[in-house]
Amino acid sequence: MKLKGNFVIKKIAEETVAIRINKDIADLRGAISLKGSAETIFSALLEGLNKEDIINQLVENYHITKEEAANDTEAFLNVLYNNNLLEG
Amino acid sequence: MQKQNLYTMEDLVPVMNSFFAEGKKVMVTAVGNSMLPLIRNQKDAVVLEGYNGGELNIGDMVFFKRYDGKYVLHRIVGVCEDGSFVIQGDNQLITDSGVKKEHIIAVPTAVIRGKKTVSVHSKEYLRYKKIWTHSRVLRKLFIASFNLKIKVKRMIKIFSK
Repeated sequence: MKLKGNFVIKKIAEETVAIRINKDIADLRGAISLKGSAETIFSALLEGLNKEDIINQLVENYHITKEEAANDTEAFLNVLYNNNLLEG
Repeated sequence: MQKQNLYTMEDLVPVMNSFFAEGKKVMVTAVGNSMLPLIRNQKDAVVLEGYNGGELNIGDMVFFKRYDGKYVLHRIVGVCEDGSFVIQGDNQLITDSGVKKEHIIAVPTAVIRGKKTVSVHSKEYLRYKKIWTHSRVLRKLFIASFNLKIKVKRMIKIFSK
């Protein structure tokens, strides 16, 4: 499971977003909004963590059940897959 | 996913500056009709690099903060005695005077027209720049026909209600 392309996390108008970097150009045209657990999940993907590790990190950071963490993770990963941002 | 046009330029400039400080360029969707026919509203994009205080000449495009606080990408059409610039959109007759180097944030390195990347150093761009900036008649004709098109569209809208 891997993000397609290089990304950095920044703030635009107090909102946390992921911005794609292609060579030395930051593409601001399609910034990905990272609200709530999405930021943790995206950061974990950038670090190369697998789904199980991501779920465990959510449980630890947000004090939620493993089932809730798994649902959140699955939902956000589906958004990334549907927008052709994730492979594997 | 968040489209860029949900953010204002005021929202984007701080993050643009952070990328410029890292030596990176940014790509942004063009908004507005002031740089037609070169840059089309919401269809084309521009690649910008941070302005480092270097030499600027008549004909160069610059991204700057205008006196009214708005951020604009237009072209240098003149230089005043005090070294400040007179700036104008390719699709405009009005100008902004007194624009100083400290107001300039970035300069474009390329225009993305649809799927095609046009470098500001390419022959085709330099040809466009030469023709457009030297032909007042052509520019006035284009601007007049663009404004007429808008008026006709408005009249059609009114009469079709």
